[in-house]
Amino acid sequence: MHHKVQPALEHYLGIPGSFITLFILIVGLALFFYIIYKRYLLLKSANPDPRFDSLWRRFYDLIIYGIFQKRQPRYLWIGILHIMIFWGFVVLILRSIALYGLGLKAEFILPFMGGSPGEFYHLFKDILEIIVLFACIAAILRRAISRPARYEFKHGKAHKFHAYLVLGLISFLMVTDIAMDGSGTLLGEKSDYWLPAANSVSYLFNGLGPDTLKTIYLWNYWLHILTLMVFLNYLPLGKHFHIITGIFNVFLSKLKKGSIKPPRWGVENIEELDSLGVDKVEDFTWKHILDFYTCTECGRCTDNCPANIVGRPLSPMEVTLKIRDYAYESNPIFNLKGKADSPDQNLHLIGNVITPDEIWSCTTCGACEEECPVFIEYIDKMVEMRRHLVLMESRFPPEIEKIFRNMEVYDDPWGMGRALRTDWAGDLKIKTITEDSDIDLLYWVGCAGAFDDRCKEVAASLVRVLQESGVTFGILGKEERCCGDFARRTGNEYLFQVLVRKNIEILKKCKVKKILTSCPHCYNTFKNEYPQFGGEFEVIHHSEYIAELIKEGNLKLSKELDKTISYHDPCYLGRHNGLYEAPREILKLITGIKTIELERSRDRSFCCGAGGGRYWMEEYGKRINETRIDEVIEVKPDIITTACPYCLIMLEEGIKAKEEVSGELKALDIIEIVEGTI
Amino acid sequence: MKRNAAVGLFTKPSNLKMNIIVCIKQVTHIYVQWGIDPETNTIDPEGLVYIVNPYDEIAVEEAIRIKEKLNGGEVTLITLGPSRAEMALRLCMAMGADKAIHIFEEAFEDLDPWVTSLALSKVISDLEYDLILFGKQAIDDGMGQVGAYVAESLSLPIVSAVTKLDFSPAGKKTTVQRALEKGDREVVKCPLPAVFTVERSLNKPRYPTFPARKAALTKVIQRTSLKSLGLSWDKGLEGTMIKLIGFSPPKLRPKKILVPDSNLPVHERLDFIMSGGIVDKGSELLEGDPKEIASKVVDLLVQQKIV
Ligand code: SF4
Ligand code: SF4
Repeated sequence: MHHKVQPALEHYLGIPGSFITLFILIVGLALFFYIIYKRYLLLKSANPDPRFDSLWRRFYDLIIYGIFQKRQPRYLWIGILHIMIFWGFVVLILRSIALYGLGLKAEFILPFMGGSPGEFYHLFKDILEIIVLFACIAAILRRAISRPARYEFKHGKAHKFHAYLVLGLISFLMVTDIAMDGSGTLLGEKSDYWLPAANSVSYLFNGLGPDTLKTIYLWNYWLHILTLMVFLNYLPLGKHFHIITGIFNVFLSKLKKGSIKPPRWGVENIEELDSLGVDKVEDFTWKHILDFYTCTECGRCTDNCPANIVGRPLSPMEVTLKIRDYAYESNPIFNLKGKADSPDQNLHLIGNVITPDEIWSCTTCGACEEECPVFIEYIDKMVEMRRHLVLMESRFPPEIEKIFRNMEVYDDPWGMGRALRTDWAGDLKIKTITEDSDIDLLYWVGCAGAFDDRCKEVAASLVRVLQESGVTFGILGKEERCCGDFARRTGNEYLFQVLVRKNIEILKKCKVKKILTSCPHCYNTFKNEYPQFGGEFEVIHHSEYIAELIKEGNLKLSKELDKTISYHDPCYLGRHNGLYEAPREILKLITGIKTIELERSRDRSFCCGAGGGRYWMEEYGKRINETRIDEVIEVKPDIITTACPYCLIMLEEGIKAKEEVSGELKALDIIEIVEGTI
Repeated sequence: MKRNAAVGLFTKPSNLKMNIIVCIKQVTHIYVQWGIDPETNTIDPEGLVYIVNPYDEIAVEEAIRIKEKLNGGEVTLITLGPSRAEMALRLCMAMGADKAIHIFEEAFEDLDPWVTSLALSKVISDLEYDLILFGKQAIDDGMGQVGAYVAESLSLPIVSAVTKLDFSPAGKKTTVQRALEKGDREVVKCPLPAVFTVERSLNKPRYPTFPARKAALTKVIQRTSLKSLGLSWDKGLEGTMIKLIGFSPPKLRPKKILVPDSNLPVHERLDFIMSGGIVDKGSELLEGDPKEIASKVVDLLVQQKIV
């Protein structure tokens, strides 16, 4: 392509165009790197976080979720629009570099962009510009007309302006570039291809004299490169920082779901620490701060948050935005207001920026993290803030003090004591694993199975099924203690570690290798958290184990069950551990059962409301479990089944509260269905 | 929002400094089930858990609150018990007590309140103090005598079942509210030093923070024993005046538990609990001529499945 007009050779007030370009470039980039440097400083002041392990896995995620944006179409149409804009952007970066080059040096061409590859790229980018422009306009209209509720930021300054500004800037960049190409075409920049955008626009300019065309060309050129620089500098100031940080955030995402971060990475014994938890911005890890930078304000997290849906005062997006706003205000890029006026850098977040109510409302269900297109984490942050409240200030919902004390004294949240731990077993004749027994499989009953009346039935049912299949297994009996899930998730790390150490000691003493659990919370804690303390065991959930037994023919299901059944995915089995299939397989293997999926299922399953210690806390207003039962009622199954004792209790209570179904709809653990069909 | 310091209402901040001694006991807390060891007539140790006697925990909390309020003084714990009693001392130190003295005695179960109080008085008489706090009673044996004996042997006034404490800013005098029967309260004045045994409603003990727990691990516990206190006591010595000869667990009675309907609004649930779950029986007055009434009565009897 031959350029007739050369911005680099133009003179303005005697200054050559190349100088002007250079000036814009240097000032713009200097400013940009200064802003990034400031943002980096805050990141650097934060706590450590090891995120450079499993590089292959990270590159894989980067390609799937970063480049191919796999999570975007979870919200179909806007997701497609986003992918269009994103890809347009990637391709158009080359064009931007080429334009700057052209401003510095006449006839500038990027390497490999001469000849037909250049021509082809030109065609490609011309088409993409139309697509991006179209997508931006669609996005603007959507925001303006249908106003999706999930974008609302209720407790802070509205950020809507930013969205419009950025969409406007992108559109403007497209328009100026197309106008440039359009006028260029008439000035004799002939392309090998018919360029849909450029050629169409050139019809508009038909009949204008060469001088006017040149002016149009140059004006659009300068506006374009200037806007580009403004755009670049604007990015780190608002939600569009994600254009830069998003890719990193995906690459650095948390790989081990289900485990809560230790109080300080690299510190094994918490007794070495003087302070635990998070109450200041720098108490977070650098990755968490990168999360704050990266949030796109898309509201998908909040849209799926059970606490938010039932009207609890928690919106994960707002947690991020409030902390981000505060972090930006207290770490200004240019301290124009002077020291005295700028907000206190050492403000306590809890109470001033985030309320304890928000922190305690989280069920640690992980719906937000599953949904976030840029992999922003919430559970660790919530738990870290709880750690501060519990361990440093002894402030927590009064109901759970009793539970903490119970776990400390009796080793279980119910406060029943180890003496009663085996009562559920009745006359089932279960072997107890001791130091010198050689039983390979340990059935870890869990506190719910041992103490809650309803869950005792489930534990007994599992035992009968195991006995029926001829499996050799044992329990720890009175030596079993709470696994600590609840203690950790309510921020009582101290108590958690005490329990973990005791449990690991006894498990090692009894040479336990394989643990079967019926509670996804025990399952998750053993699988993902005990290794942090040197407790490596093979852990298997009863749904997996039973599915195996059936498939291998060790367990014969001879009866039919003519019922419609829905399966409720427990968060700690599904989202946190990716175990979606086993329970569904079991249902498929039973003759007569008709299964029907709930509207929210698998990785979009809706929490029962018990996770994160919420089981033990008062719930005010609308209840999460009743909301879930409403969803169950919609698909009208005869039985709602699940594979978690807490879910079971919550679902059952939800059913009791609904007169219309109470007595008809039944909640059962998957194992009870299995036992019923033997 | 800090933990409310509703207790110990000081009219004026003063430069009073108080040294407070709190005597605590580690008790065995048995839940529903246990067995009796036929040889010793005591509870079978398997399945026992040890806790700080809850009344004593309240005494410790009160002492710490007084210290925090006055910004001075010291809280010293004393306990008599076997080596595991150290756990109880550490826990109370995590709450904020400064020092502890452990009168070490493995066979402490066999001591009667009189011997215990002699030992405590011996230790206390070497210390400086303005106030001695006890829990009203230990939940395991429920005797509630030691506080009184200690007051007696140190010739100090004693106020039992304290539900509220006030200090006069001028000197070492207190106004004390104590519990009588059925929720009645009486207010008494008492000079210091004195012995108070505290009631459950006095305060709500704190849940120790992590730094406090950590600090408690390094605090010094001074150890002594009955022997070194000059109480050469061994099993069966006449020092012990009462001896346990039998023990019987309660008969299990079906428990009636009040459970308010969880769907009721909070205030109604509260009303329900406060009223002890009394529900209006709801009676109906039958009207009409005798014949009608008679048939209504019959209907009612049928309806209620009485006939
Ligand atoms: S983990 Fe669940 S409850 Fe907590 S913020 Fe995320 S979506 Fe909401
Ligand atoms: S955290 Fe993620 S899902 Fe939530 S608003 Fe931010 S970018 Fe969207």
